[in-house]
Amino acid sequence: MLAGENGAGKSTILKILAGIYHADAGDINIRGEKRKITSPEQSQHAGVAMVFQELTLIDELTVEENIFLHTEPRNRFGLVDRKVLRQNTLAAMDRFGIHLDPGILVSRLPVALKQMTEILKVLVREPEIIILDEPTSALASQEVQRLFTIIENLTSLGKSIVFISHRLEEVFAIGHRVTVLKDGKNVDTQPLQGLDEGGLIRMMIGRSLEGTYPAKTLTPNTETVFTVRGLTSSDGRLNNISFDVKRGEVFGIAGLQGHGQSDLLTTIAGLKAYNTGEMSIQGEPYHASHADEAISKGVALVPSDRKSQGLMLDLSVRHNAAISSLSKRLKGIFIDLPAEKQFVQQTIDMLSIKAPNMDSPVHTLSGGNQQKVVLGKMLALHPKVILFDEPTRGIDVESKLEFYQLMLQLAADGVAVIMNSSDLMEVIGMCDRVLVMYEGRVSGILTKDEMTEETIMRFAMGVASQDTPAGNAS
Amino acid sequence: MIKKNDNKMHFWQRNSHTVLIFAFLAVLMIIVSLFSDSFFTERNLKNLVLSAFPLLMVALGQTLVLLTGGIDLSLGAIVSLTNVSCVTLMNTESSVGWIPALAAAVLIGVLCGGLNGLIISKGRLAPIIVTLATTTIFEGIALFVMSSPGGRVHSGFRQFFIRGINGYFPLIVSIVVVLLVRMISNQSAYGRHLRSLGGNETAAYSTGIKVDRVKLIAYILAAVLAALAGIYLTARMNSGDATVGKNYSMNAITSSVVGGTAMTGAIGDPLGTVAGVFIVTIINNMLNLLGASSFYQFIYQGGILIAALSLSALRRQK
Repeated sequence: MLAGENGAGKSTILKILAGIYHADAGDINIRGEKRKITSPEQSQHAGVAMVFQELTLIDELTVEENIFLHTEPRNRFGLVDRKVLRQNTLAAMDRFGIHLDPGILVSRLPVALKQMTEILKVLVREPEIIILDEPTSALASQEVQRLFTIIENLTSLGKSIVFISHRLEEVFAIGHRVTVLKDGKNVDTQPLQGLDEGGLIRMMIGRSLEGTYPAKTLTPNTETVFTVRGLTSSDGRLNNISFDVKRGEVFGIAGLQGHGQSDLLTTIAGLKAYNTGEMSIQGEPYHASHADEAISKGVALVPSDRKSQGLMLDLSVRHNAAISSLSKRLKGIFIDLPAEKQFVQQTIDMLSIKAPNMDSPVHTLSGGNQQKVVLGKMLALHPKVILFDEPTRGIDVESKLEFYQLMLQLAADGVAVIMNSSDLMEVIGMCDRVLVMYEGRVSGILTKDEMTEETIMRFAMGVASQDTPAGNAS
Repeated sequence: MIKKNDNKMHFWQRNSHTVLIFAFLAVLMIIVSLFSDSFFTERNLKNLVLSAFPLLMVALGQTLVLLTGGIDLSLGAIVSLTNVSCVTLMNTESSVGWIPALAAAVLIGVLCGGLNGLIISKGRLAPIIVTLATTTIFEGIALFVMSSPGGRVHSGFRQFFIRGINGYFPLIVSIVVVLLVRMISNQSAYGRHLRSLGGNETAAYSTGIKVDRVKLIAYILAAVLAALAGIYLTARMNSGDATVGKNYSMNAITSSVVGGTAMTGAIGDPLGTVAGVFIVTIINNMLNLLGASSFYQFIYQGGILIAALSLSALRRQK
């Protein structure tokens, strides 16, 4: 287990092991033998394999073609021997306990199965040491369980696993020993037995956080700030969704991956069309068929994938933070640059964004800080409804806590706060109520008292359901 | 946290390429002046502006389009089309006979750019393919309008364009257009939207930017600037030619990229493009003076484009 905040140096260490970066000093010993790793090739030779956070699969090829890419079995004409390819794939799947349809195009797989393919691709090269960089950040809890089973299987085959995670419960669930990094230095390595979450957090941030989730000081009242009735999309991803968000509450959306949670948020934000249904914000009817319409009516989405949906990575912090609210700082037809500078500085201070300066390209920031830039951009709109899609995916514990506090602050200010998360602990820790989705429908709306991981899972898997969801009287 | 008052560093971070490219231009000019005593004379510098003018207009337009992450290969054909239309529609008898011709040329620019922009934004098609196709359409129409070079140009119009305000008219227009384009790209909300598209179109859309409209306007602006080049060439050549614009598309891309505009969009500065235009023009003139065949000019232009692209790729890797 390797843990630490964003920017602590975890990825750097891994990239050195994988031969992408070079170490200036220090030794790498593998099985007691000193190894020099200065290229990805040497790394592979030394038996190190890495599963990156970003997937490296080719969408247009099938699962088996991806797994044996560059090492395809050839027949005597030098062409790919499909029969042997299939046999080898099935054999590997059996051996490592990962079962997929070998002939399906990768583009048709959900993220979780793509990840399985990626892992299998690494495993067939028979590495001794397997490095997994935040493999669970895109997975729902049930899929995480599956991954853990695979990992246990691998350790029983005598392989060593280095596992990076931001989810503390995972560290405890699967790890034997943990090494914590901070600011590029080794904090400590400890066996996980006898360590608790609080202790681990203290190691990571160098001080103790009161808890992973901030205490709520406000109880939601009965005033409704946002209403959805019978939302149904033509592609069948959403089916008759109804719910209300009360003033002061954080409203959660949960469910297994691919049951329509993200679709619900993007539909509300005007990025996807819907067939029937009505929405209203603070009593005013609301409809948006384009993103700009949604934004002008006070609905802001903090998207799940900040890199592809939220940020212009090559452009500056300043550009990204100011882009949504340009019209508020115009002098004639031109932008009031000093006012913009001041505004960006305020955003940076308010969200404590760590960046070299405001003209640095956003891609130079760490994940947590990038996410804060996205948030800052949306907050500048003073939204009435703010939608968070997996807001804390891949960001460090401290930034997470700051995010949570901000959410509560927004809710207290009367903004309808809706959060979709596949991290059940986060849902339980943060949300006053949670809407659980199953196959595009509302399978239940649970109150704080009813929320446990188990009940949420029961609703998410369609085992339990409420005929008339709570809080929906119409 | 961000330290305040490190303005110098900010300036450098934002403008390093532009400063470097102007330094390169200065070095180039000094080198050229070593070979030619008359280089730094008023007359020669005026001539330099005169010969750079059409490329400057087209390159500024190309820069705007490149910032969106797109490309417009048809700008050269728009130069040709507006040139022949302007000549054809000119009434040389009347003293105001050039006004409808000018208006028509600008309108044709708007229509051509509008066509490019509409197909690219509404059709969700790749700009490089769309403008490749419209290039042949515009070239075809230009040849249809004027199949062989010729025509007559209103003399008052010509005099004013080339010699007006002591011969400073083209220079004044250049400065005004450069400042305008720079203010649009760097200081207006529209310019920010333009760059956002090049930075990440999906993110730009979900931030509420009207992506289609921003694109459409970019292609129209570029085509209108190309129309200005076409009008100017009408005055300078004193005739029309349906192939006059042929090399401008390519040279405009070279100038923009040499000037620091990224082919991938978002990053670039019209001021850098100005330097790029003069670098390309001066090297061309130099080759002319040395009596190099125009074939060599094509070869060197391809070379300089590859060099500029490699440089910007290297910068990105850092």
